Amino acid sequence: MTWEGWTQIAIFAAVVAALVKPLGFYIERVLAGEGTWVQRRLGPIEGAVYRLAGVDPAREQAWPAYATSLLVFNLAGILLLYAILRLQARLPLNPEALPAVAPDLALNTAISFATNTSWQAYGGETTLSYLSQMAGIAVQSFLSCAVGIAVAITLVRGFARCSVPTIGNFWVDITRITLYILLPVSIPVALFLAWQGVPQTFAAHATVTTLDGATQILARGPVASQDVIKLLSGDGGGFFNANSAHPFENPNAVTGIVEMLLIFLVGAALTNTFGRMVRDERQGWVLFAAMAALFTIGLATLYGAESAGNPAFAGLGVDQVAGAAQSGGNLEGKEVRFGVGQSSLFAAVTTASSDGAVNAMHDSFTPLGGLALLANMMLDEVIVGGPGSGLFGMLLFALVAVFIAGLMVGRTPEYLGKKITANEVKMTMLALLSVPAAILGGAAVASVVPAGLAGLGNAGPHGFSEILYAFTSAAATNGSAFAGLSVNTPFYNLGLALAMFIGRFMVVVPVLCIAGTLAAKRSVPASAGTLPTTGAQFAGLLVGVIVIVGGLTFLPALVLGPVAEHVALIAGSRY
Amino acid sequence: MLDLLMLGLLAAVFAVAFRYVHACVAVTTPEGQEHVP
Repeated sequence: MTWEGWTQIAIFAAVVAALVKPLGFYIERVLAGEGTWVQRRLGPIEGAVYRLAGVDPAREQAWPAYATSLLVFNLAGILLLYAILRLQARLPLNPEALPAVAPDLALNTAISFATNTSWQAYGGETTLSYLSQMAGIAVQSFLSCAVGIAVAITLVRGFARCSVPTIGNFWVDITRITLYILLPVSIPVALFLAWQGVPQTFAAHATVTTLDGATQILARGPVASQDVIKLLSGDGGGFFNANSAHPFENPNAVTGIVEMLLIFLVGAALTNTFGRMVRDERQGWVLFAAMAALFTIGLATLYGAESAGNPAFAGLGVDQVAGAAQSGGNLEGKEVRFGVGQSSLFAAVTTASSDGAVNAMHDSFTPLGGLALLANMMLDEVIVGGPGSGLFGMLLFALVAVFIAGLMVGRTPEYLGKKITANEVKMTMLALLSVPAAILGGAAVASVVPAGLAGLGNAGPHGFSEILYAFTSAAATNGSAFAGLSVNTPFYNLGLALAMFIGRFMVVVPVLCIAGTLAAKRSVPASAGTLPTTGAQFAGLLVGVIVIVGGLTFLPALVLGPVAEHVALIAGSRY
Repeated sequence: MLDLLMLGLLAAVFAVAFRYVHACVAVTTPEGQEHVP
C-alpha cells in the first residue's frame, strides 16, 4: 500500500461524506414536491409529462397498484429495448452497419438494463449501434435508476406515514427523480467528461495510421452522455467492452475519482434523505455509518491483498514492492494510469454499489481480492448499493436486526415507531432470500451441466469463482464481470437473465408490500423498552447481522472458490 | 421463431411476477398484523 493510494481513498471518502447532507436534503425536497430552484424551471415539463401520460399527480396508489405500475413500466421498457436491439440494422445511427443483436443476447441485455444490472455479454463497440446505446441502453439506465430510488422512498414513506393506505404515485416519483435529480447532474458532468477527453460524436469509428505505420480502428461515438448515467444510475454498462478501463471512458485519474463519486453519490445521500423523512437525521447517519464500516472492511481487505502482490511471483523472486521504479503489488489486469490504489478503490466502490463499471479486470485480482469483491455483492449490496436498492436493502437488514433484538428480550420489535409484525418479517425474509437463492441455485446448476462448464476459462476453484461471480453479479443487480467465462451462450444469456429478474423483482415486490403495511399502521411512542436505533450500539448490531447472515449463506461457496484458490496458490497450484 | 420463444419466456416470468404481487397481498393477513403486547 502506498501513501498516494490512501490519499486518493481519503479524498474520495471526504467528498462523499461532505455531499451526503446537501444532496440528501435536495432529494427529500424534490420527492416531497417542494419547490426547488430546478423544479421551478422544469416544472412545466413535469406537468406536460403528466398530461401526456394521463396521470393525476394528486392521486396516490396503494402498494399493489404501485407494484403493478412498476411491473408494467418495466415490461414495456424491456420490450422497447428488445425491439431496438433486434431492429438496429434497419434503424438510423448505425454507421458501422452492425447487424441485429441475437435473440437470446437481446433478451439478456434488455432485462439486464431494465433491472439496473447492466450485465453485458457483448462488447458495446462491436455489437450496438449508436441508437441502441442512446435510445436503448442510456434511457433504461435513467429509468431503472429512477425505479430503484422510487422503491426506496416508498419504504421510507411507510415508516414516516401513519394510518395511510397509500405509498405514493409511481408515475410521479419516477418523473420527478428523472427530471430533477438524474438529468440536472448528468448534463454538466457529461460536458466535464467530454472536456477531459471522452468522445461525444455521431461520426463513425476512425481509421488511423500508427507511428509504426500500422492501421488501427479507433472506436468512438456518443460516449460522454452515456458514461455519466452509467455511473450515476448504478447501472455500469460501458459504451466500450473495457468499460472504465478504456481511455475514452475514463481518461485520467481525475475522471476516475469523479466516476467513483458519481457511483456512490445518490446511494449515500439517500441515507440522509431517509433520516429527514422520518424526522430524525441520526437514523440516517446510523445507516451511513454501517455502510462505511462494511465498505472499509472490504476495501482494506482488497487493497491489502492487491498491494501484497501475487504469492506465486513472490515464490519466483519477482520484486513486487512499491518503489521509485514501480507501483508494486499485483498489477495484472490493471491500468498503469490508475495503479493498484485507484483500481482497488474503484473495484470496491463498483461492487459495494450495484454499479458494475470496472477500471480493472476483476478476474486478474488475487483470490483474496476477488473474495472481497464477491462478498461486497453477496451482502445484498447494502454497502451504499445502487441508488435506492442500497437503502431498501439496508432497511430490510434493519428490520431483521430489530426482530432479532426483540426475540432476545421477548418484546415485539419496533423500528421508527412502527411495530414489526409477522407480515413485515415474512416479506423481509422473502426479499432477503430471493437473491441468495438465485446466486447459489444458478451457480450450482452451471457448475454441473455441460452448457455451464463449456464457458469456463479456468479449471479448479478459479473456474468455480468465475461461475459464482457471474450469478452473484447478475442476481445482486451489479453487472460487473469477472471475465474468464464465455457467457454469450443461450445457457448463460437466459440463466443470468432469470437471475437478474429474480434479483430485482422478487425483492422489489416484497419491499413495496412492507411499505404498504407499515404506512397503514399507526405509530407508537417510544418507551423505556424501545431499542434505541440512533447510536453506535445499533450500528454494530446492524453490521453484525449483515455479516452473520451473509457469512452463513455464502461461506461454503466462497470456501470452494476464492478461499480454496488462495490456499492452493500459496501451495504452488495454479489454474 | 426465436423471437417468439424469447417473448414467450418474458411473458412467462412477468406472469409469475404479477402473480407474486397477488400472493404477497394474500399472505399479508390481518392476523399477521397482530403482535404480542
